[in-house]
Amino acid sequence: MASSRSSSRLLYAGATLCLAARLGAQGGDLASLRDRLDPASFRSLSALVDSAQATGLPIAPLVSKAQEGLLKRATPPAIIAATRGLLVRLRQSRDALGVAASPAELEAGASALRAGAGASQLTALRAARPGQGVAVPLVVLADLIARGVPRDTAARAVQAMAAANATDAAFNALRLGIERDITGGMSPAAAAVMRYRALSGEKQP
Amino acid sequence: MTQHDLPGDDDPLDATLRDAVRALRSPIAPRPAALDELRSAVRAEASSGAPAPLRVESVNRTRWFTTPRVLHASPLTLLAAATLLIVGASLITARVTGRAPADRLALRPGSGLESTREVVRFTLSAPQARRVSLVGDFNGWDPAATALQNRDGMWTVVIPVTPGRHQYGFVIDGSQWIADPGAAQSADSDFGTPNSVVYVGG
Repeated sequence: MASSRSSSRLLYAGATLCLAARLGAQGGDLASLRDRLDPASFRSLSALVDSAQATGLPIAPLVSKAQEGLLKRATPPAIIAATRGLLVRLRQSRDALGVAASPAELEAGASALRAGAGASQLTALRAARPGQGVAVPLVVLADLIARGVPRDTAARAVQAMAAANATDAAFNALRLGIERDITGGMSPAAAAVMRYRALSGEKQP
Repeated sequence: MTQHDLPGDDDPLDATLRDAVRALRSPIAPRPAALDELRSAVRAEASSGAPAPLRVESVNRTRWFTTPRVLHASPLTLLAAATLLIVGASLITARVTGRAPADRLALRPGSGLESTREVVRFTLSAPQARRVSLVGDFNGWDPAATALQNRDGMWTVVIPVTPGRHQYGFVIDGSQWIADPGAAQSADSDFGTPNSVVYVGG
């Protein structure tokens, strides 16, 4: 019995050590920014990260955003503003996609929102693909809008493909095809419509 | 003992000893049934395979491993053993999931990068550069993390990247930021200079 208690304590100690090591690794990225930001800016950044962590949002994109800003020699206020903006979009992304959304989906949703997609379009995409991940369709949606495809055209194309149970490979084929057509001189809107028709059997989005 | 060692015939004790020695030296006639029993026992032994004592020993060995028993070890020893186990498992996992970079690449002509599900080759033509680093959201935007190798002005590095959409760029000679001229650019740059975009797994 004493041996069993002793083993349990050891297991508990081991699990605690592993958890501490994991948390330390996660917090390590943020801690590395302490010496690169002034104290006030670091406190602001830490508060944003804490807020994300407390509400179950991924913190890695926030830390990465701050690291990018530091690399590009952005001012601390610009870094904090960009990180705060990303946190807001991550929240909106989760509101639109639901609490079960994965970190990859939340980040892709935030990117789509940043590109100009509407929150309702994220929700519609989620509903059109029940039980399946929407990270790739969201990435494609953001990419199409960023390339100049009108927001509603891009959203309708992606939602229709999702409703037709298109695979991730099909979404990527759509993206690559439109990229090629735009590079070849076609207008983004025309390229999106043409590619979607080709992939979906002449059905207009 | 030989014939010359036997005691003399005139001593009564010697006479008794002489009788005993004679009896011992006389041939023994075995019982026919006893010989049959011996032959049967030898045949049975030969057909049963391994000798009995060895079988008993192997059963005992197996039982040693399956019988619950108390092992005495200090907590420090157990902790060290657990650490070794975890590190060993991690190394095995890394070896199993690791990829050989070059033979996993799917070439995509006309692009500045070539990607597969997990491994990406980044290239940049910069003949005048003395040093080129790859920076992106996959390495913490750290210019010291991923250096490219120079071959006749073509800088290259092959690294594993998790599937998904990633933003990146190059830093030349430690100070000059440059987007990948052969890749798509991100439209959502927050800091003025655009990032390049790589899709891994698609």
